[in-house]
Amino acid sequence: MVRARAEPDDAAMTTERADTALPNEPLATYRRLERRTSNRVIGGVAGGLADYLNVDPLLIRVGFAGLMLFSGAGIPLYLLGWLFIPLAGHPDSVAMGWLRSLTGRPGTIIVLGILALLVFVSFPVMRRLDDFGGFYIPGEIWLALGIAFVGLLLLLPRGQGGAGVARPPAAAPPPAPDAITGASVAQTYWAPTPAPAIPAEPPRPASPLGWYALAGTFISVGVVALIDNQSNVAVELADYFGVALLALGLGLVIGAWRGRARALILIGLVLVPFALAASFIKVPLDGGFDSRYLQPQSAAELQPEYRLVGGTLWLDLSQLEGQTGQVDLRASVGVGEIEVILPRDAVVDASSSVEGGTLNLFGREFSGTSVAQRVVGNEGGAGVNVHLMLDVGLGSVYITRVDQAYVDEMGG
Amino acid sequence: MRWEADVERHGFDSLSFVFGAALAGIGLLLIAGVGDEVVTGSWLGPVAAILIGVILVIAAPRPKRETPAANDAN
Repeated sequence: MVRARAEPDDAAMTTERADTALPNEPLATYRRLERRTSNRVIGGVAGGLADYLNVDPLLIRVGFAGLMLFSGAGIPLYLLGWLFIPLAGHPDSVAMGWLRSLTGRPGTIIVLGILALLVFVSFPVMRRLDDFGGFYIPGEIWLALGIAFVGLLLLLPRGQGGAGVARPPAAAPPPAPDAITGASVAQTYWAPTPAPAIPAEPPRPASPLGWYALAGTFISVGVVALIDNQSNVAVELADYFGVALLALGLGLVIGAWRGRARALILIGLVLVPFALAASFIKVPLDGGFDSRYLQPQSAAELQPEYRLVGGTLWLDLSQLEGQTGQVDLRASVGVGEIEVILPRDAVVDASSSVEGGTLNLFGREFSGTSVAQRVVGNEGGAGVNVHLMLDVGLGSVYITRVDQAYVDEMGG
Repeated sequence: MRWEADVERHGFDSLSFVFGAALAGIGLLLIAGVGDEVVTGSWLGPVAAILIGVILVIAAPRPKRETPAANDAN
């Protein structure tokens, strides 16, 4: 919003303007960075920045789009703008509104600050303890605790203020029927009485049930993650989705009689396809997301097991050609691909499975759900014995023998 | 109890009930480890049809019935 400076000459020329001028109106020109409420595409951030910088909004939008090409930096920057730039006509930004609601409860900020400080300090301390044979809490545990903590935050009572949302003024009470003045009784002519104004139905108070259900969802998922990380109980990805859907569903069932939380229907419907896809992933979800290329020079360099949550795992065993010995290897990828290149003289025993996707074993292709095949044999060679167990949740397994073209390409 | 004070009682909301029961049911199937069988098995279609039928029965608009007292007044 841009306010123009009040020019003294103008005031002197017209008395009207002087009479209506506000005495406390600031004389200095200033701009306030605000998000647009109209003529906007998403959240009004680009339009607000353009108004503030007095440039064409298209330039800012192109800038955000360009930043998205660089590791998607435009998305977090836009979200930050949405969080910290107030909407036009609102005193606070969304983030400031949240902060105000937190500060409405004495001690909350202090508790949160102490917790954040403890977490921050604990990282190097525990790493040091780990060096001396102590304990170290891995990142997965922190993630699980963080999810549960978000759930607890949602359970906290919300204070006054909100996220800078303008509230409608309270409706004035209707006049009392007996409030007829003497002057109105003395009227000598008839005039149609205007229809009494029907007071607008007050808006239904927002129900906290949805927040409770979301809190329950986060806490449940956090607890399952802790069980997954801290115990020997086998927890699959589908279990996380199952617990989340169960919590959302129970919230909705409660909402059939008490409170209202129909927004949970949308959240649940968004989750369902991902949950059903996750039910095909039964491999251990360890190892993170990566594209890993392994080309050992000898069988001794290989580990017994490789795991990835998502990505591609290339096992290039072509350098083992002409060697003897035994390779026992197990590999799993949750979502992605395992590709194995075997030496021409290897004796192979390969069991591979895909919950949903494709197996390509020496040129033979098998597609569908719950596909499993075992291949045993050699091609007349007497090289290294390779025993493989390869599992992919959603994706493909590809096993082939190295050919001469590949050897030439690799310079072998 | 604070929870009961915050979450007020209201008339039965069939939409919330049906979708809530469906989501909770899918969640239980996933936890039971049969989510993939639901998708690939032959009973996905029948279950979906039955579920849609139940939703239609519960959520169908019904005409308001006049009370006997109102009939007497007429």
